[in-house]
Amino acid sequence: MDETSERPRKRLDEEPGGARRNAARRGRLKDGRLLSAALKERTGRPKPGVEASLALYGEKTRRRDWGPQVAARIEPSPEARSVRLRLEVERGEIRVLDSTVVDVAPPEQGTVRGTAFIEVRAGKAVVALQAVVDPGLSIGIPDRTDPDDAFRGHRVVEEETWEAAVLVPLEAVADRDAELSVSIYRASERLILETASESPLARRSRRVEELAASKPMRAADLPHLRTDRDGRKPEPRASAD
Amino acid sequence: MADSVTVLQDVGSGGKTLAILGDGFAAGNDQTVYNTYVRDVVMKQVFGSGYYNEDAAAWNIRRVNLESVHSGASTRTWNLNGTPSNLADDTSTESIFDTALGIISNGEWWHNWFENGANTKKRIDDAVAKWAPGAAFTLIIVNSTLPGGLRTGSVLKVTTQEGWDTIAHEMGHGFGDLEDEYSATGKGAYGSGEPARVNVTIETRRSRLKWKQFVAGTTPVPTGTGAAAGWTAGTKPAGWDDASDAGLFEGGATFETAIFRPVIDCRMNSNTPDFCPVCYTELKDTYHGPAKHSFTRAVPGRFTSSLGSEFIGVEDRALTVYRANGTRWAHKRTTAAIVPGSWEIRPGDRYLAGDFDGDGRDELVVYNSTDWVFPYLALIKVDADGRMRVLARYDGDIPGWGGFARHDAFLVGDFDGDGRDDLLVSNFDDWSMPYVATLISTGSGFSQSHRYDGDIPGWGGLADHDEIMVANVGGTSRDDLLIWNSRDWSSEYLGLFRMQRGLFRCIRMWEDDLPGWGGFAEHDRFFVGDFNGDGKDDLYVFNGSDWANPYLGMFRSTGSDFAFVRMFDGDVPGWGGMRSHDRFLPADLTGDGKVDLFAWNMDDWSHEYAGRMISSGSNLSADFREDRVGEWRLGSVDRFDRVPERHRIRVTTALSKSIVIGPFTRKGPDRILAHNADWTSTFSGTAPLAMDCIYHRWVHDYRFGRNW
Repeated sequence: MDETSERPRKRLDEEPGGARRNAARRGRLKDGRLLSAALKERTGRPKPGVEASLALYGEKTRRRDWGPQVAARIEPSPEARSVRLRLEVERGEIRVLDSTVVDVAPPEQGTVRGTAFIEVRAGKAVVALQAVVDPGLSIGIPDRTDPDDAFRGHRVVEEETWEAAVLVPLEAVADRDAELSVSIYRASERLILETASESPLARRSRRVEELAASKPMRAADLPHLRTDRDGRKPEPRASAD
Repeated sequence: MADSVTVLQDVGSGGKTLAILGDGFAAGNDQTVYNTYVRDVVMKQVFGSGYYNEDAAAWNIRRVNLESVHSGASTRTWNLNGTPSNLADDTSTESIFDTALGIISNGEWWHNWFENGANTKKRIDDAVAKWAPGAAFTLIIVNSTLPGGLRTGSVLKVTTQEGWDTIAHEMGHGFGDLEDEYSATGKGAYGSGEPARVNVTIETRRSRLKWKQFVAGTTPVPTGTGAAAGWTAGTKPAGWDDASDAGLFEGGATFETAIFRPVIDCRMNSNTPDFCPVCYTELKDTYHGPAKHSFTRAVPGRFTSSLGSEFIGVEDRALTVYRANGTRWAHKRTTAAIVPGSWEIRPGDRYLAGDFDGDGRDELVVYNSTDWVFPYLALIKVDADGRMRVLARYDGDIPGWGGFARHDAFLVGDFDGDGRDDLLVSNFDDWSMPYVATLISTGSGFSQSHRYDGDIPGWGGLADHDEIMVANVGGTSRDDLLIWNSRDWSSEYLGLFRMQRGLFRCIRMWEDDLPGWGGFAEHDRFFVGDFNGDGKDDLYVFNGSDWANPYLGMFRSTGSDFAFVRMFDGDVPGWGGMRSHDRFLPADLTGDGKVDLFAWNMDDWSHEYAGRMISSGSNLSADFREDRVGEWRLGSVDRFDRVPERHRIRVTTALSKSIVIGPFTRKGPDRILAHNADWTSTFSGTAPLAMDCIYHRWVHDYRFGRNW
């Protein structure tokens, strides 16, 4: 049996069924009850009256700028925080100059595109991979006064010492004994890379060369790093006081 | 005043961060100068048009105001002693001042325009770490009367003498890792292997070009040879666009020969043109995710002109005006993060279009009851250039409504007949009884004219499942309401409401049946449209699940009643059988002034279908497409919207071609906008459905090829 055949067909050849009215009687519901009585039976909060709303809102003010809307204050979750590492690169060696916990989420997992990359590893697992542009180069803009037939273009200088910054998820340094290392790579072509990986970029792609690398360091040894976990409990006596 | 940060644009945690810093700006007027430069040059000019505007929603932009003790950056003047390339013999004089970052401006190309003072690197990093710690790019504006710009990785310094085009070019490097496409004089031939970047190559075989998808088959490859070549392979075709038409032109990456670029003149060549298709696509691919682009939500209308077709793409943190250009769409303007005035764009925004000021162009009304501590409503004007501004905002309440609530719902109609659209607000969920009110437009805001507490006279009580529709049943300047309820009472009811002396009243109520329909049932669905073109809105009624067969009825308006016209029992000729999940969108598909039905069904068959049900005024005839409309693959995630069209026409008479009547403004045919998260398309219905255009992830009319 067809599913639809259990349902009736419309009786299109018959006169319209049911009563037809132009409107409900004043103050009455469709079922004949008094509207006022039905409303009394309702539970819940009634809307403030029109007069109350007008009074509460006050005189209409004409403004050109109403200012920012009010958002609920939400404390950043640990996932919305990261550690910002300030790196210095000199002759192929990377040093961490500074590390700061910041209220900024690490870059979302996904893909990263580019021709040069900074990679931070905890052990062998990649905890941060971000693109970097023109590593080690300072590039001056062209001189607008150059004539067309003597246009010099950009001036490119290779810096002996240069800096970069990278955001690392906070949980990557939660284990204070985690062994962190940083590498900077240059690719021979534009790459699109998954940021989440269990193996270093040097193992994932033959199209990259390592420009600089740090020595392994314990998370606990990151300079100036203070996380919430660094606080010590007060002395028992102080607590008792 | 101390150092401070101003969030110019907040697009949320998924976006990248652009930090803008200033150096050499003292407290007071200097800060105003700095703010003005950032506003006019960076926000208005760089992010105000072209590619950067399209992807503006990818960027959190933070302006950091650092107060220098001295007004003006430190300067150093170099004497090159006649040997510019030998820096060792250069001498200098300097004026070193106490500025926030200690940057020294020297105005000399040979000395990279800038030098660092004491601790400049650390001062920059400290400022970024404190005020914009997630910055992916840092722009430093240096208060100097000297020219200059220097980019070190993702940190760009420019003086206030530099314009938007310098920043736009350098951001091409910094944002997109793009190569220069110009040639420096005397630089000679490139002598290395295939460059890594996407917009230069040493490859000259068409089939192996990095950008082969953008090169037309008729374009010779190489297209231009010789130092910094333009078109040399014969005659450049008429209509060739030097920035948008791709080929293979010698010269690039600052070299004159032995390396090639995609176009004659991209922004990576001479700054002011917009990006070539190769650079544009690379940037779009990079920032599509951070910008959270999606075609899921669209609001059709005519926003920047009373003629033509437009829709606004609504995204989590951006609004984009798209305007029809022939059968295709063009990006008009993106407003990211905040509408000046101000409205911060959030995922929970709900947008409605209507001509609330009666100027023939639509405005936007936006309501958000989920993203803030209390609900907000705003009226937004879209200017002719696509810029938006808030005309009015109501925080928490509109006077007389008694407080916005989470489930407030809004409908648009001209209820008082003054030529300006108004709002009808209703709430059936949040209070002890249902409430409805009319919010009459003043042209620049809304004024509540009447609130209906629990009932609209003649309706016999508003109930939780009342469904309200706007329809101009009377064919007058005033819109009416229809309310349908099949769930709260022992009978099913349809009511027609008309504004009389400022109050809506139920002027007709149908209980259990509309004559000719054979009885209301719970899943009756109503579609409003003037199917006979008499100026009065008629009704299509569909029920696909309560009876043995699906039914579709046509009921014409008599002004204050509906008269039976035709019933389709199980099928509309040409549709191949109606089924329970048939869905409908009223639209004048043929442009004859009669509202037809765009129909689709993705659920009941082994294939997906979309088609037309064309009204003759008293009958329907259908046709359909199976699985695809052109290249568009029909699917259950598809959404469809009617995009109205208005255009001006002039008519020549049969007597003489020299007698021209008009211009007249003509409506239709309507376009059908098909869209889902990643794709959008337009169908035309003047003949069996055809696809006019299709876009993947972004709207861009490539001169040749496309981005997939």
